[in-house]
Amino acid sequence: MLGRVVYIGYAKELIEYETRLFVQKELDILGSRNALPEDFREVIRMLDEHRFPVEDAVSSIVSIDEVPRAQADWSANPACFSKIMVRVA
Amino acid sequence: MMKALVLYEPGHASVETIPDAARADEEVLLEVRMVGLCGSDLNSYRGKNPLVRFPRIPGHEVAATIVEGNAAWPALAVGTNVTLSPYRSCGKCASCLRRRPNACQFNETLGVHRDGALTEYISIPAENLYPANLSLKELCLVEPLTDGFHAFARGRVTSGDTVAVFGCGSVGLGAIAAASFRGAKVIGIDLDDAKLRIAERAGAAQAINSHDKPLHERFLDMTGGRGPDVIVEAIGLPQTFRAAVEDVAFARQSRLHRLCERTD
Repeated sequence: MLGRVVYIGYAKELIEYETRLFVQKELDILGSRNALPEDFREVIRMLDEHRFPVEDAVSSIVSIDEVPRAQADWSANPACFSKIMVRVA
Repeated sequence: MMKALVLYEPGHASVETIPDAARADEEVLLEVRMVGLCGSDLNSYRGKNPLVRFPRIPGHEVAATIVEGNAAWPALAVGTNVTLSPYRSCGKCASCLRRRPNACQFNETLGVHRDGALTEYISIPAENLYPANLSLKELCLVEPLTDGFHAFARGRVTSGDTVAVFGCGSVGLGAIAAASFRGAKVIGIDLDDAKLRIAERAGAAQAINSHDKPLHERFLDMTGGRGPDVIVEAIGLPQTFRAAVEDVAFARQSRLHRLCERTD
């Protein structure tokens, strides 16, 4: 297969392209949105095999009462957080 | 009555007491144990998510325990830990009729179009639940990783492919983990060294800080001059949208040497 480009991110503005590359490379340009049930099952399988650095991916755990403050801190310093988790019960 | 985190307007969230959730028909009542916050929650907090109407209870990355089951779904027994799909498709649009409910024209996502899971209890359609013997943190990470796994599926990635992923946040990490899990060679690209280290632990064979090194030459070096077979764009910036087309195999010299500077 030739080149494939998959877009997940949402661009917030119009984008200009050199469209001849679409033709010259005979690209498959694909959008990817949300997920299907098989994607959920596959991720669960991967996590079950401990193939993902769970602890590294979580930057902090807060209680639900601490969320307003955590959101304000996150908004002010987004680079300081990767994933905030909220312990509810 | 139960606690809930209510986002009243951009920048204004508070913990409130709201009426208890009740199990709806076709649904299962969950005790919410843990909720992950993602970039879209931050956008909602900042008022930058046009899909959100206020007030809104956020939360769509969920670890929960079933407290009231549904006779039609005996596998979903009381006490079972689950995560969930936050999407609700219409079942009638062209995408749904072609069995692509993920691309539903009228999708409603928990915590975005509808009130979400930052509350003590929530009723969720049984078909949206995924029981799993995982930790609460792992259950919360399932949903954010699925986006990247879906992108991996869309790209028809095979074990012989080299895959470059622009952006090593939760979504990009999902794509990296999926490609690595399936035996592809993965290159993670980001501006944040801490995220790149996590990308390596998630399976990236190479992690590149695009602030430091020209990408195009690195891609050619790593791929015998071809360029990556697949590029996954998980940032959403014009530069990276264009770079994906320019640098993917067969490649030409890209005008982009660095991903953009951080915009936050």
